[in-house]
Amino acid sequence: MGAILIEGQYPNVEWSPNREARRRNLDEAIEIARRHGVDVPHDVAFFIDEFGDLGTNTTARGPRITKPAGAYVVWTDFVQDRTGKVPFLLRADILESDEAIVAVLAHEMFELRHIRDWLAHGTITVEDLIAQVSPGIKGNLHDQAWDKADAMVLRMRGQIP
Amino acid sequence: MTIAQLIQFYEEGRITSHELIPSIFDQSELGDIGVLLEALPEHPRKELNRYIDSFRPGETRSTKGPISARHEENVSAVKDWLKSNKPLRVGSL
Repeated sequence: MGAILIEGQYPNVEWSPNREARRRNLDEAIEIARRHGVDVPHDVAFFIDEFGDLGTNTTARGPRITKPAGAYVVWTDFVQDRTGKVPFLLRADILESDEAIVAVLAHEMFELRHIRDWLAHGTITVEDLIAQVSPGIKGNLHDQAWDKADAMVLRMRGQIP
Repeated sequence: MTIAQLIQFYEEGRITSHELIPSIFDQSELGDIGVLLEALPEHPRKELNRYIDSFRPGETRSTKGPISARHEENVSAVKDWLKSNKPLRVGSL
Protein backbone atom coordinates (compact mmCIF):
# COMPACT_ATOMS: atom_id res chain seq x y z
CA MET A 1 0.00 0.00 0.00
CA GLY A 2 2.89 2.35 0.72
CA ALA A 3 2.43 5.59 2.53
CA ILE A 4 -1.09 6.83 2.95
CA LEU A 5 -1.15 10.58 2.79
CA ILE A 6 -3.38 12.64 4.99
CA GLU A 7 -4.13 16.10 3.73
CA GLY A 8 -2.45 18.71 5.90
CA GLN A 9 -0.96 16.30 8.39
CA TYR A 10 0.70 12.96 8.02
CA PRO A 11 1.43 9.93 10.09
CA ASN A 12 5.22 9.81 10.25
CA VAL A 13 5.39 6.03 10.18
CA GLU A 14 4.91 4.38 6.80
CA TRP A 15 2.55 1.42 7.00
CA SER A 16 3.63 -1.93 5.57
CA PRO A 17 1.15 -3.91 3.48
CA ASN A 18 0.19 -7.39 4.64
CA ARG A 19 1.96 -10.39 3.16
CA GLU A 20 0.34 -11.61 -0.04
CA ALA A 21 -1.91 -8.55 0.11
CA ARG A 22 -4.06 -10.30 2.69
CA ARG A 23 -7.19 -8.26 3.23
CA ARG A 24 -8.93 -8.27 6.61
CA ASN A 25 -12.63 -7.99 7.22
CA LEU A 26 -14.00 -5.48 9.71
CA ASP A 27 -14.31 -7.96 12.58
CA GLU A 28 -10.70 -9.02 12.07
CA ALA A 29 -9.61 -5.38 11.90
CA ILE A 30 -11.22 -4.57 15.24
CA GLU A 31 -9.69 -7.67 16.82
CA ILE A 32 -6.23 -6.76 15.45
CA ALA A 33 -6.50 -3.21 16.72
CA ARG A 34 -7.56 -4.36 20.19
CA ARG A 35 -4.80 -6.99 20.30
CA HIS A 36 -2.28 -4.22 19.69
CA GLY A 37 -3.62 -2.00 22.41
CA VAL A 38 -6.19 0.19 20.69
CA ASP A 39 -9.13 0.85 22.99
CA VAL A 40 -12.08 0.24 20.67
CA PRO A 41 -15.23 0.79 22.74
CA HIS A 42 -18.30 -1.35 22.17
CA ASP A 43 -20.48 1.61 21.23
CA VAL A 44 -18.75 2.27 17.90
CA ALA A 45 -19.47 0.68 14.52
CA PHE A 46 -17.27 0.58 11.43
CA PHE A 47 -18.34 0.59 7.81
CA ILE A 48 -16.36 0.32 4.59
CA ASP A 49 -16.44 3.36 2.32
CA GLU A 50 -17.83 1.56 -0.72
CA PHE A 51 -18.87 4.73 -2.49
CA GLY A 52 -15.65 6.76 -2.34
CA ASP A 53 -17.01 9.31 0.11
CA LEU A 54 -13.63 9.66 1.83
CA GLY A 55 -11.57 10.49 -1.24
CA THR A 56 -7.89 9.68 -1.61
CA ASN A 57 -6.51 11.80 1.24
CA THR A 58 -8.68 10.61 4.09
CA THR A 59 -8.39 7.18 5.67
CA ALA A 60 -11.44 7.26 7.95
CA ARG A 61 -13.89 9.57 9.60
CA GLY A 62 -16.54 9.69 12.27
CA PRO A 63 -19.91 11.44 12.07
CA ARG A 64 -19.95 14.90 10.52
CA ILE A 65 -21.27 17.64 12.75
CA THR A 66 -23.10 20.67 11.35
CA LYS A 67 -24.42 23.44 13.60
CA PRO A 68 -25.15 27.15 13.69
CA ALA A 69 -22.08 29.18 14.62
CA GLY A 70 -21.62 29.22 18.38
CA ALA A 71 -23.88 26.22 18.99
CA TYR A 72 -22.79 23.58 21.44
CA VAL A 73 -21.99 20.07 20.28
CA VAL A 74 -23.71 17.30 22.22
CA TRP A 75 -22.85 13.62 22.46
CA THR A 76 -26.10 12.55 20.83
CA ASP A 77 -24.96 14.33 17.65
CA PHE A 78 -22.44 11.52 17.25
CA VAL A 79 -24.74 8.61 18.03
CA GLN A 80 -26.89 6.74 15.51
CA ASP A 81 -30.33 6.60 17.10
CA ARG A 82 -31.24 3.18 15.66
CA THR A 83 -28.06 1.40 16.75
CA GLY A 84 -26.94 3.49 19.72
CA LYS A 85 -23.45 3.43 18.22
CA VAL A 86 -21.06 6.01 16.81
CA PRO A 87 -20.52 5.12 13.12
CA PHE A 88 -17.10 5.37 11.47
CA LEU A 89 -16.35 5.09 7.79
CA LEU A 90 -13.08 3.36 6.79
CA ARG A 91 -11.33 3.49 3.44
CA ALA A 92 -11.22 -0.04 2.03
CA ASP A 93 -7.47 -0.21 1.39
CA ILE A 94 -6.77 0.24 5.10
CA LEU A 95 -7.81 -3.38 5.52
CA GLU A 96 -4.82 -4.50 3.40
CA SER A 97 -2.35 -3.49 6.13
CA ASP A 98 -2.50 -4.51 9.78
CA GLU A 99 -0.30 -1.52 10.59
CA ALA A 100 -2.73 0.79 8.83
CA ILE A 101 -5.60 -0.79 10.73
CA VAL A 102 -3.88 -0.18 14.06
CA ALA A 103 -2.86 3.36 13.13
CA VAL A 104 -6.19 4.47 11.71
CA LEU A 105 -8.31 2.95 14.45
CA ALA A 106 -5.91 4.31 17.10
CA HIS A 107 -6.27 7.75 15.52
CA GLU A 108 -10.05 7.69 15.36
CA MET A 109 -10.51 6.21 18.83
CA PHE A 110 -8.07 8.73 20.33
CA GLU A 111 -10.13 11.59 18.91
CA LEU A 112 -13.41 10.02 19.97
CA ARG A 113 -12.23 9.35 23.53
CA HIS A 114 -11.19 12.97 24.00
CA ILE A 115 -14.38 14.36 22.49
CA ARG A 116 -16.41 12.07 24.73
CA ASP A 117 -14.47 13.25 27.79
CA TRP A 118 -14.89 16.91 26.85
CA LEU A 119 -18.63 16.52 26.41
CA ALA A 120 -18.96 14.55 29.65
CA HIS A 121 -17.19 17.21 31.68
CA GLY A 122 -17.96 20.45 29.88
CA THR A 123 -19.09 22.00 26.64
CA ILE A 124 -17.56 22.68 23.25
CA THR A 125 -18.89 24.73 20.39
CA VAL A 126 -18.96 23.55 16.82
CA GLU A 127 -16.08 25.94 16.05
CA ASP A 128 -14.01 24.38 18.87
CA LEU A 129 -14.71 20.93 17.50
CA ILE A 130 -13.76 21.90 13.95
CA ALA A 131 -10.50 23.44 15.22
CA GLN A 132 -9.66 20.25 17.07
CA VAL A 133 -10.42 17.67 14.39
CA SER A 134 -9.33 19.53 11.26
CA PRO A 135 -6.01 18.72 9.58
CA GLY A 136 -3.33 21.37 9.29
CA ILE A 137 -3.51 22.78 12.84
CA LYS A 138 -0.35 21.92 14.75
CA GLY A 139 -0.91 20.42 18.18
CA ASN A 140 -4.67 20.01 17.86
CA LEU A 141 -6.48 16.77 18.66
CA HIS A 142 -6.16 15.52 15.08
CA ASP A 143 -2.39 16.12 15.19
CA GLN A 144 -2.00 14.43 18.58
CA ALA A 145 -4.03 11.49 17.31
CA TRP A 146 -1.47 10.83 14.54
CA ASP A 147 1.32 10.96 17.12
CA LYS A 148 -0.60 8.35 19.09
CA ALA A 149 -1.13 6.27 15.95
CA ASP A 150 2.58 6.39 15.08
CA ALA A 151 3.47 5.24 18.59
CA MET A 152 1.03 2.34 18.38
CA VAL A 153 2.55 1.11 15.11
CA LEU A 154 6.11 1.38 16.48
CA ARG A 155 5.03 -0.56 19.57
CA MET A 156 3.40 -3.16 17.31
CA ARG A 157 6.77 -3.57 15.59
CA GLY A 158 8.55 -3.86 18.92
CA GLN A 159 10.55 -0.71 18.21
CA ILE A 160 9.38 0.99 21.41
CA PRO A 161 8.37 -0.65 24.70
CA MET B 1 -24.93 9.70 -3.86
CA THR B 2 -28.71 10.00 -4.01
CA ILE B 3 -31.15 10.95 -1.27
CA ALA B 4 -32.52 7.41 -1.35
CA GLN B 5 -29.00 6.07 -0.75
CA LEU B 6 -28.46 8.49 2.13
CA ILE B 7 -31.69 7.37 3.79
CA GLN B 8 -30.63 3.76 3.23
CA PHE B 9 -27.28 4.52 4.92
CA TYR B 10 -29.17 5.96 7.87
CA GLU B 11 -31.37 2.89 8.09
CA GLU B 12 -28.27 0.67 8.02
CA GLY B 13 -26.70 2.64 10.87
CA ARG B 14 -23.89 4.00 8.68
CA ILE B 15 -24.73 7.64 9.30
CA THR B 16 -26.53 9.50 12.06
CA SER B 17 -29.69 11.50 11.54
CA HIS B 18 -27.60 14.55 12.51
CA GLU B 19 -25.40 13.86 9.47
CA LEU B 20 -28.20 12.70 7.19
CA ILE B 21 -30.08 15.99 7.12
CA PRO B 22 -27.19 18.28 6.07
CA SER B 23 -26.11 15.61 3.58
CA ILE B 24 -29.56 15.77 1.98
CA PHE B 25 -29.30 19.55 1.72
CA ASP B 26 -25.91 19.15 0.04
CA GLN B 27 -27.60 17.40 -2.89
CA SER B 28 -27.79 19.27 -6.16
CA GLU B 29 -31.47 18.40 -6.59
CA LEU B 30 -34.00 17.69 -3.84
CA GLY B 31 -36.77 16.61 -6.18
CA ASP B 32 -40.35 16.69 -4.88
CA ILE B 33 -40.07 18.03 -1.34
CA GLY B 34 -43.32 16.44 -0.24
CA VAL B 35 -42.07 13.03 -1.37
CA LEU B 36 -38.73 13.65 0.33
CA LEU B 37 -40.35 14.49 3.66
CA GLU B 38 -42.61 11.47 3.49
CA ALA B 39 -39.59 9.26 2.85
CA LEU B 40 -37.79 10.42 5.99
CA PRO B 41 -38.05 8.14 9.02
CA GLU B 42 -39.31 9.69 12.26
CA HIS B 43 -36.02 10.58 13.94
CA PRO B 44 -34.45 12.27 10.88
CA ARG B 45 -37.73 14.10 10.27
CA LYS B 46 -37.50 15.63 13.74
CA GLU B 47 -33.84 16.40 13.09
CA LEU B 48 -34.80 18.13 9.84
CA ASN B 49 -37.26 20.36 11.70
CA ARG B 50 -34.60 21.24 14.30
CA TYR B 51 -32.04 21.89 11.57
CA ILE B 52 -34.29 24.20 9.59
CA ASP B 53 -35.43 26.08 12.68
CA SER B 54 -31.86 26.82 13.77
CA PHE B 55 -30.32 27.31 10.32
CA ARG B 56 -28.80 30.73 9.71
CA PRO B 57 -27.49 31.36 6.18
CA GLY B 58 -23.80 32.19 6.22
CA GLU B 59 -23.53 31.26 9.90
CA THR B 60 -23.60 27.49 9.84
CA ARG B 61 -20.40 25.54 10.52
CA SER B 62 -19.56 21.95 9.66
CA THR B 63 -16.72 19.52 10.22
CA LYS B 64 -17.24 18.68 6.54
CA GLY B 65 -16.19 22.16 5.46
CA PRO B 66 -17.93 25.25 4.11
CA ILE B 67 -21.68 25.21 3.55
CA SER B 68 -22.47 25.60 -0.14
CA ALA B 69 -24.88 28.08 -1.69
CA ARG B 70 -26.87 25.12 -2.98
CA HIS B 71 -27.22 23.81 0.59
CA GLU B 72 -28.61 27.15 1.73
CA GLU B 73 -31.01 27.28 -1.22
CA ASN B 74 -32.25 23.78 -0.41
CA VAL B 75 -32.85 24.65 3.24
CA SER B 76 -34.76 27.72 2.14
CA ALA B 77 -36.83 25.69 -0.34
CA VAL B 78 -37.85 23.15 2.30
CA LYS B 79 -38.60 25.90 4.80
CA ASP B 80 -40.85 27.62 2.25
CA TRP B 81 -42.53 24.34 1.37
CA LEU B 82 -43.29 23.65 5.03
CA LYS B 83 -44.78 27.12 5.45
CA SER B 84 -47.11 26.67 2.50
CA ASN B 85 -48.11 23.07 3.09
CA LYS B 86 -49.89 21.34 5.91
CA PRO B 87 -47.21 19.84 8.14
CA LEU B 88 -47.00 16.09 8.09
CA ARG B 89 -47.56 14.50 11.44
CA VAL B 90 -44.56 12.49 12.56
CA GLY B 91 -45.65 8.92 12.95
CA SER B 92 -48.21 9.07 10.17
CA LEU B 93 -45.68 8.63 7.36
